[in-house]
Amino acid sequence: MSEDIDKVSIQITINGQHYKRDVEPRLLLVQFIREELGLTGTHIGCDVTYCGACTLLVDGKPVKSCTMLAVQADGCEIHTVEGLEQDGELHPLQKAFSENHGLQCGYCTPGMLMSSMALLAENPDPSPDEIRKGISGNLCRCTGYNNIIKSIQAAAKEMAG
Amino acid sequence: MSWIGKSPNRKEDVRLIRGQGYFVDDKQDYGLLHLHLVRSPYAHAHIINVDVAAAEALPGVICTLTGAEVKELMPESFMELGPEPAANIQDYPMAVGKVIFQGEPVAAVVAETPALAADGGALVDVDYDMLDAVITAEQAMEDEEVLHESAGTNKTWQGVYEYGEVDAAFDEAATVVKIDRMHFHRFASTPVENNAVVAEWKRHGELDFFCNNSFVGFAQQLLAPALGVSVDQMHIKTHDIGGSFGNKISNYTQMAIAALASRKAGGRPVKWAETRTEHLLSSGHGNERTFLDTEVALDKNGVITAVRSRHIDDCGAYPRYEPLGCVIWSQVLPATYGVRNFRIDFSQAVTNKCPAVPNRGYSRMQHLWFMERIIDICAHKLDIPADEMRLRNYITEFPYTTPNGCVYDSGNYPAMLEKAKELIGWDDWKKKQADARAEGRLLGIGIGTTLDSGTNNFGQARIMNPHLPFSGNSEVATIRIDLQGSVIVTLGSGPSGQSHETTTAQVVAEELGINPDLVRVRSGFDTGWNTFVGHSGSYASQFAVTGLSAVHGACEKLKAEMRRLAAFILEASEEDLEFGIGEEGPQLSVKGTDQAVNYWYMGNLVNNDNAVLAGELGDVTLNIRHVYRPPFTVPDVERKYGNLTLTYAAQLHIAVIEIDRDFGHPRILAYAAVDDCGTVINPKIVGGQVHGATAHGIGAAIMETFQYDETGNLLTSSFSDYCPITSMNMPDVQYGSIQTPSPFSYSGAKGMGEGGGAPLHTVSAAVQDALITEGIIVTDSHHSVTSVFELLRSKDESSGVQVDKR
Amino acid sequence: MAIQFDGEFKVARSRADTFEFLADTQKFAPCLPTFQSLGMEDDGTATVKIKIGIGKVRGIATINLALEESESPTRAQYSGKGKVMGSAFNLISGFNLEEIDGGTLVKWSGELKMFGKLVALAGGLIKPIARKDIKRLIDALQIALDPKQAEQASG
Repeated sequence: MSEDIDKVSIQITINGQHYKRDVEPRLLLVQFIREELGLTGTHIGCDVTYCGACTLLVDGKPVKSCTMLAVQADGCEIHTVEGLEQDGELHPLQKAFSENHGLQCGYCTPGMLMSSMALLAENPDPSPDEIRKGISGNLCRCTGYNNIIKSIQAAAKEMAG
Repeated sequence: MSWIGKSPNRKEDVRLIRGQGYFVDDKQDYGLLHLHLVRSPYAHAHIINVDVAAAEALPGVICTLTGAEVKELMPESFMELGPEPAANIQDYPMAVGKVIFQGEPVAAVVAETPALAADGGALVDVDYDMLDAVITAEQAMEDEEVLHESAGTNKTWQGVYEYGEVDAAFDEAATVVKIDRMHFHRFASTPVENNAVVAEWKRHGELDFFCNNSFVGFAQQLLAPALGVSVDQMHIKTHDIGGSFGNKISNYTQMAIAALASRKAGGRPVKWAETRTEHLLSSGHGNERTFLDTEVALDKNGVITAVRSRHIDDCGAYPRYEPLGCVIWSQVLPATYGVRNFRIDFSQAVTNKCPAVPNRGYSRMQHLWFMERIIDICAHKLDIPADEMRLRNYITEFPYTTPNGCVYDSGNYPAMLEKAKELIGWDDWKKKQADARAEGRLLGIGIGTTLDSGTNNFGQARIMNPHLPFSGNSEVATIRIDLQGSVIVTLGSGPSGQSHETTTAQVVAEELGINPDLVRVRSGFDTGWNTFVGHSGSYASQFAVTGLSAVHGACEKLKAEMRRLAAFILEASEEDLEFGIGEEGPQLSVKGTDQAVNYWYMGNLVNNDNAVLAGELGDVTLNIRHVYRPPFTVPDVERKYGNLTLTYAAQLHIAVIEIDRDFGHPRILAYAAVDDCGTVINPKIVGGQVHGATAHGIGAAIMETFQYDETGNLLTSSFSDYCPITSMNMPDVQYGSIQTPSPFSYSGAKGMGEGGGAPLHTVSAAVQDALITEGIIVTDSHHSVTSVFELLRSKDESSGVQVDKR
Repeated sequence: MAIQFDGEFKVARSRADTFEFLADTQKFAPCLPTFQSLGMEDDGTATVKIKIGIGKVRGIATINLALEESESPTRAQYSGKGKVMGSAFNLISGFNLEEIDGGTLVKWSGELKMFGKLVALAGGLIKPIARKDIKRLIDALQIALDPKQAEQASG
């Protein structure tokens, strides 16, 4: 039980900000980010790595942060939804999701945006099928996905200039 | 410029795309404690002993609660809506003495962190004495094993809905089609955000809830007596809700546990955030329905003249809200068809499964699926094309009064069919189907017509239980010009993704001649705003009618006050004033002059500077609360007759599905959806709702099911097993719409959003059409690879359909 | 979820001898697969701890094992109620003993019913895993009763 768990010291950079904390080894990365750091933009939707609401970028790769321990992220550079907007300017994905009604309740949106970020970083001009694959690990219960696919296509176009 | 029919960007998006939404689990608080529920692994068992000593001894654990203690702390059990004897069911939020379903809470542990609470939960030792589980409603109705001793029976409701001359219609029928058994499976829309609540039972007696309940108007009425507080002592708030689809209507039971835990913890705030497995296990499933001994009478032209059938609903362990489902389906008794003679014997029973809750398309979807199955089975058996069968049977005159007194406001189903055929490329697919069949491939084209009845008349609750003091419907909006001249609106709806902030701003902008950016609509729900009635919430496809009519009515009253005030200030006559935007913001001006007064001036005058009014206009506050009440009367309970819903939005879908002969995999090749919700306030939002409801329906039809084994284990209690639909399974939807404005709403809009389960009807129809060459009749709503494989393997000639030609 | 099982094996011991072993909870219980510890509550009832797990999900199950029926020298039946990780299982395991040439024929049968999270987590895996564990129990009993013959049979 908890009283005999020794805490482990970790250092993580999130959205460019450096954090140093002592955490229980069993603490999940998503709990660390939400509960220890108060970055509640990253959400929790399931407990089996299915829904992707907790997706964020660890060293540029999309990771479901409910299935990674905080201690595993020691020394990593993490990006969350809170870091998408730069100098008051929304990321093209954020704009495109809003313009194309790619969100309704907004609960899956942060994870969806982060998976889309990773997808576009790897493939700046994805086909609809590639987009489907790219977000297949992210559940949305509101939109039926069609508008999300449209949003990502629109953002890709915008980013290509 | 008009804002109705436009699609401005959503107000909600501003925060949600930045990760700045405020969901319940996001709340942090000084002294916040965390609650973990210990749940029963058994579906049915006596509780012999609950030992919490080890949990309480764990450092960091503040307190525990057991079922017995919860019963002590609650002055009464939750009200059941059903009539006696179901009304006698003792319904506590935690099992007292006996568990009735797997996952039912038996104890709670409250600790300093979520992990410590879970650690404590693992130390709670419960002894059970297992009982046989009752898994189907049919089995339950035999009462061999009675689940709730206080009720003495498993039957929660029974009633016969009879209209017209049923037996005469059967005597005169040219053909009678009999279908032994059909079954609509158990699933839920399972929002991505789980249930959650923070409860704080303050030492001075006030009880605060920050929750994601989606029907607070109702929840507060159940919570107050059960917790022994007045409704006014409870301060209930919501903010962003990560989807509900009806499922979050029933989380008041967990709200009660959190409240009691906070009280026991000395008034510290207690958070409960459900896990997904808990959600799937115990937080509500859609109604499962079995249709027995169905008989359909048809005339020589294939027009259905009568239906008689026996329907059994499985409401799971506790009926709670549920016996309402025994009536709500009758809002759409004849579906979209002109059948005048019906006899439906409807019953419901409790089983050792998760309690049923309202789920998108609630209760009507099951019945509409039943009617669509009838249409398709009869069409196939009589060799009438499915489209032609529908055209022969559709209602075409509106308003149309159904045999049970419901009034369909408007519609044009043939036009929707035409449009959907165009979108999907009907003739082309028909040719492809003929080619596929020639090659021995299984390709089916299915049509599903459905209704999304909105703005329900709560009077129908009295058909279920004549003693219930509910009828009509209502919703509230407040609007004011505050002391800075801002337009502030609050709503009673507590939305969960339906864009109410945006559409409200559109209506207000339209009325005041300003733009939506100038309207601040507060997020969520708050009893502290005094913007609620007993009906307040987001459910039953009604915001466009009840919510926006309340907003519209509030605007009208505000405008009347503003005209009087402006006329006084400008020394003009009210008739000469017009609303608009001037150089100094939103204003009223005297037509044809440069004389104007802006909102800041008016707001300041009333709130800060009222001596200027010199005692005039004492009743003008620029702070309006308006309640909209639809024009309903109380139904005739004896005859089960009356208008049960105000508007009837409709959808028509067409799917093309190919089934893999070897594996049974149903692949959707094309999909079209046409929607008619009358006048459209915001096309983008309406389209989004149609797409979302389509995804739920397709997911339910081809993937999602709550599958129980014979001992009451839920075998699909995690997303890995439940498998909600993903981007890989969702087809591209060819979407179109027609508009037949409702004569019953101020704007011509009809409530929409639930979607009526159209994809379930459509996928069943398409699977049926694909398998008809194999002699297979589809009588179940679930078409996963496994179920289709089973269908193909069994080549079920015994599907129990007989045709009797006279 | 219920699993029925049955089978038979021969041992080169007398029936009375075999019965004495099988009807002795202290001898029987350690044959349960992944056996950890045993505490006797009375002559026929024991609290047995075994390790249980699927993949990385592991825990210690506590079983209340009781000798339910015992008709010397022909029949013994155990019933067990176990708890592990918020899940539960019920076990019934019975033995009928017949005299045969050169020993005893042990006919065994029983039922394992499982409830809760473990069933859902393991999904389709649970039946094969449970069957394997039942086989391990029977093998262990056979070895304990008749080490030599068991060796021959498996060789």
